[in-house]
Amino acid sequence: MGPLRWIITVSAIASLLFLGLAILSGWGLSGAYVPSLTDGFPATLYLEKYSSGGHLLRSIHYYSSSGLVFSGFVFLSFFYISGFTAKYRKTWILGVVLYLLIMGSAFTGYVLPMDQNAYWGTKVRLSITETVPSVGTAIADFLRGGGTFNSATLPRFFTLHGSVLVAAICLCLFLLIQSRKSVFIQFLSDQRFNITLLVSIILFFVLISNFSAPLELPADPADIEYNPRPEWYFLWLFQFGKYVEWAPWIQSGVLPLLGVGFLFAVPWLRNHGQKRRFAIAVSWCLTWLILTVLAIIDDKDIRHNPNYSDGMALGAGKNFNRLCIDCHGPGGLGDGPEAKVFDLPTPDFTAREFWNNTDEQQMIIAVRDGKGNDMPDFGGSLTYDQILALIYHIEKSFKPNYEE
Amino acid sequence: MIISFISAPAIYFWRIDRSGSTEIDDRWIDAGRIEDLPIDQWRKEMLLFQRQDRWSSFERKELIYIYRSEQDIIVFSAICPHAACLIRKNDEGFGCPCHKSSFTSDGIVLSGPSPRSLDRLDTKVEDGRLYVKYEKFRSGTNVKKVIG
Repeated sequence: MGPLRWIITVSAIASLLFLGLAILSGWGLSGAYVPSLTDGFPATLYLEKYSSGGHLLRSIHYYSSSGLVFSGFVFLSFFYISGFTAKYRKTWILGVVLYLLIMGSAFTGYVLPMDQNAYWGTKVRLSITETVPSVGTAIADFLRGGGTFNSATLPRFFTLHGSVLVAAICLCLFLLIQSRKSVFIQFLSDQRFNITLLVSIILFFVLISNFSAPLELPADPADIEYNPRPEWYFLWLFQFGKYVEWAPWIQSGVLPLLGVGFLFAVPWLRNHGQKRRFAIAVSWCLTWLILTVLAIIDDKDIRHNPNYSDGMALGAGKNFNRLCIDCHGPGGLGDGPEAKVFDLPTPDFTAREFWNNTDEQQMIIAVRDGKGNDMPDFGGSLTYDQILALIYHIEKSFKPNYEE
Repeated sequence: MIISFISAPAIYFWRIDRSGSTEIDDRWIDAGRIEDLPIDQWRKEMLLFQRQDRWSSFERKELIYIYRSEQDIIVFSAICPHAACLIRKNDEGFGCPCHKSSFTSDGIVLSGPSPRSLDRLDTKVEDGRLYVKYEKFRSGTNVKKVIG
């Protein structure tokens, strides 16, 4: 087997593997997910932090879909370079359609966690969709179920992501396998192939369990500090958009149309020898790389968007300064101005006795329901997670001999 | 062919059910007492209000910029008319962090891809309180079209 054929085979198998894992983990995730503007984030947070196995499922789903975008790209590029496109036209066309459907799944799945990244990324992408001449706004409104994010938006994206596109992908995959049936049967009946596949799945699971899928703070449509950025594989398009700001339809209409048109036309192109194919593939990869690097360089000074736990810790510091400091004091000594004026019995967070006589559960209840006559209850203004973060913040800042 | 026939009811329903865009709420939102606003100074304000959307009613938080002069009050929506990012106040006027549009303090485009000036919102004053009619407009178009 030549090196080209080898890469094509490996990337095809990797794509199938990633696709299978993405679909199966997606089934798992959908068991506890609610597609709603208000419940989408809490459901995702529950999956990530509190449910057993939800964390692993999210990692598998996230990394297998990223892997799918990559391995699918490798497959298509090498299939193209090798010149099989003219020989196996049907396989090529179905492969391209399948890849576009996978891109569609990535686009529709992006919004579902309903964290900052999901909300802002999708919002900006829909605005870009709106710039497609004549049909753009209709498509965006159809997807959103209205002109802005509303109660139908997440159900629609969820339906597309979890059933419509999956059905289309499975149909496409079936036809693709049919078109090269003998090759698949040959592989599936090979013992060595099956063992390799099993080992790589186990390796993938082991590798993935050390990583987690990103999750940021819940979507806040009024957060002025947030800098929306696309996924790594779309950074080039984002960068390209900066150069054609005067005509956004080049980015949203002409470029995708040319790209997709080229891919579909490839099997019928004449005078498209190996050298030319190779040159086109390499120059495309170089363009991608240069634009991506430029995008990263442009962004090197912007504020890094905090992930969920960092964001909560940051918020906890602010909440302490806003809600607690008047009595408990900036040093946690219980010497805040209010406590002094009214002579309130405020505990000293830096004292060893306080921590010996208080556990986390008592503190959670004290913050949530109030304590004694003077400590107000914050259960209405702070969520459970915010209270927990606040208590970690107090421990970290004031507890003597605090160990992480 | 068969698939398009089968999916027709779904597509038809998705096309017509667009209450998010058609049901425009024209209630005025209380933005606080006039005296609390400093004169000749820009202020960032958060509007908090309940909105009904199909079966659900939820709290909305929207950001606006208010400027009060002796005679007039100007209120801009903080949503950039280009791609709906949130604009920030700077020395020249306003700037958008996403695609680098910049605007004068009057909301007129100085540079960047924004197709129109900042969206000014309707205001009224009753009993010494400022009321704002909060609307969202289609982004990326020359004309201000209300979408929600």
